[in-house]
Amino acid sequence: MLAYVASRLGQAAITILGISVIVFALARLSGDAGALLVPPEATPQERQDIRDALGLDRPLPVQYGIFLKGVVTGDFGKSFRFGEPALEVFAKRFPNTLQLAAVAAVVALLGGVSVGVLGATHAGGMPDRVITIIALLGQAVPSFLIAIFLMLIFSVNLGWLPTSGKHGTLTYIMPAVSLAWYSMAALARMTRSSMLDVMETDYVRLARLKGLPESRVIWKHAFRNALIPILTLFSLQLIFFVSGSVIIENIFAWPGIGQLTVQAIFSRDYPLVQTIVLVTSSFLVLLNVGVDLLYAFIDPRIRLT
Amino acid sequence: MASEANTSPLLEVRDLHTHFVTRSGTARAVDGVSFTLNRGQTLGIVGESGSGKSVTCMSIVRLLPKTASRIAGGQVLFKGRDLLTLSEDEIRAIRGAEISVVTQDPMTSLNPVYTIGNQMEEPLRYHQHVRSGNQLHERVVGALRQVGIPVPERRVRDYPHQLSGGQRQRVVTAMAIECHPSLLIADEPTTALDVTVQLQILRVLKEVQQNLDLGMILVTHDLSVVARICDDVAVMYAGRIVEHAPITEIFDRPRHPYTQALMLAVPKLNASRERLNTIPGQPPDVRRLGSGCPFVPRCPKATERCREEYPPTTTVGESHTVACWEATS
Ligand SMILES: Nc1ncnc2c1ncn2[C@@H]1O[C@H](COP(=O)(O)OP(=O)(O)OP(=O)(O)O)[C@@H](O)[C@H]1O
Ligand SMILES: [Mg+2]
Repeated sequence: MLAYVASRLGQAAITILGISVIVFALARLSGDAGALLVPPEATPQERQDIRDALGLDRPLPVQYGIFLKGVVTGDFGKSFRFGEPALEVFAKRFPNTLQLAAVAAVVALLGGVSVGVLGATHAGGMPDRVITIIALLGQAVPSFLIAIFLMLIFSVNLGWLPTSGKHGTLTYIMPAVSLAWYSMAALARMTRSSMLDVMETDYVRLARLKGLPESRVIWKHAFRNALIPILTLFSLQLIFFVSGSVIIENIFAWPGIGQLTVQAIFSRDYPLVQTIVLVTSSFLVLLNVGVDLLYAFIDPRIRLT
Repeated sequence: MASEANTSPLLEVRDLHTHFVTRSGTARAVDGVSFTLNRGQTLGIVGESGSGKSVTCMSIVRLLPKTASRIAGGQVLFKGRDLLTLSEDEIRAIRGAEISVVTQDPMTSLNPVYTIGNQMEEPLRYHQHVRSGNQLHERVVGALRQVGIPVPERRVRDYPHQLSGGQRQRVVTAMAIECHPSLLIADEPTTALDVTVQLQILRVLKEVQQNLDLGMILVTHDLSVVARICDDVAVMYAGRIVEHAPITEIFDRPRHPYTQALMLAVPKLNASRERLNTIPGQPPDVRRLGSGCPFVPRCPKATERCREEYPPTTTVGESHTVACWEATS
């Protein structure tokens, strides 16, 4: 088990290092890194100071060393647009994105799994058919359209929900549902097919032969075994909850990273873009390690080898 | 009621019909099966693949695929109660408690994500409401010891993948008997195992059956297994029992041409893993049965009458019945 954890953490470290190389290289690839990393309004003196600080006139490995040292010590440079350290700007917005992503992930997981299990246990019946159609729609209709439909219905027509901003529980509903939509549909389909497979197995039949109640057969014996492919899909979708926020946050004026990314790109704020990419992707890599550890918890065959 | 339960046999299956509805027609998988079984008695069911042995077993405990199958008629009297008329909850209380089933594949029958102990505690919790951890542990360890698992205290913490095939089958057997059932159905319990392990498992089953005075149904392809541990044999062909007799009778005086062919196939089965496929021809498709005897195309003694009319089941000796025009004429 310890070896498993260590190897997963090792892989994560290598991945994050790889991302840092890419982020570093992107700024250098565009020819003059100074043009990207130095604010346009800087005086020639300031310009030279920053070039010296980043080592832009020295060999690439040295530059990378300087870059990596900055990253490790939390120094990502100053945001051009906000005039503050990029990491601070990021840190102010990141919790908002995380909260929305977490709510959306929970909605997607709970909704998708319960709909999928219902479909599998009533396979071929009426609930199953309705669910299959909804799941197909979920995957066919893009999330921004869902967001606009929701807004039209619940804000414009019914006036039940506020259209934008983050102030109170109600404002979470529409962004979270739009963000969860696609993922929920995919999870429902995966849960359904995974459960159908598991329900055919000998151990599920044995559970029935033992005289266990059907609810116990489904949730204890079938569901836990069906969970591995569901979790795999879910872990792939975790990225989507953060990347999807770029669109959703802008539609609902949600003060998070998605909105910040667009602002940073429009104002050519490279230090901020760099920070967002590096920190967000490192975060997602670590999240995936967490999911891998969860597998081990669910399936002893992973844990004990 | 009580007196009836005492005098009636443990299990009496009367004219059982189980059908599968498929796109290509209705399969009469079990087509009028009747037999009785008493406590302490072992009935072997033999027959080629597809003859309806497993479907018969699963019909008794009513665990067939819900959507495709239908028990179309008959009675399954267990201690005088017709299991086919019980509610879902009532039959569930009998499964795993009074009637246990051991199935074919020990490698895949245990849930890979729970410990042996966890899975073995379930029937005790559900059927006998044993709650105390100590008591559960003792009962589980006791049952494992009964089937010859060494150091059972340690095995309860193991996961199925840590056990060999033979050990897993012992665990499944232990799980089947821990609630002290009165009927044990073993559907090819050793087919997937090595020959030496097969013998051990059979010995365990026989021992358990005798110690607990169980009625046992043993489904097998292997007549040598039947010879070793059964009292009676029922030979199935195309969803029906074509011959039923005590073990000595069937080996000394097989009457049905199909049974006779099976006997001839036996010596070639010395490895005892091979299937009974040495009889020329194929078993019929149970979706397309006519009115005559389904064995006709393979039968050396078939007559015009066999083609037209299914033979009645006739008594030809002490507890010996057969369904064949030739054997009874
Ligand atoms: N799920 C099913 N759907 C449709 N038909 C089925 C199904 N299960 C069984 N049958 C039909 O029932 C017949 C008897 O099957 P059964 O499993 O009882 O055979 P068996 O005697 O146990 O064979 P084996 O020795 O291979 O285990 C089969 O020939 C098949 O046509
Ligand atoms: Mg079978």
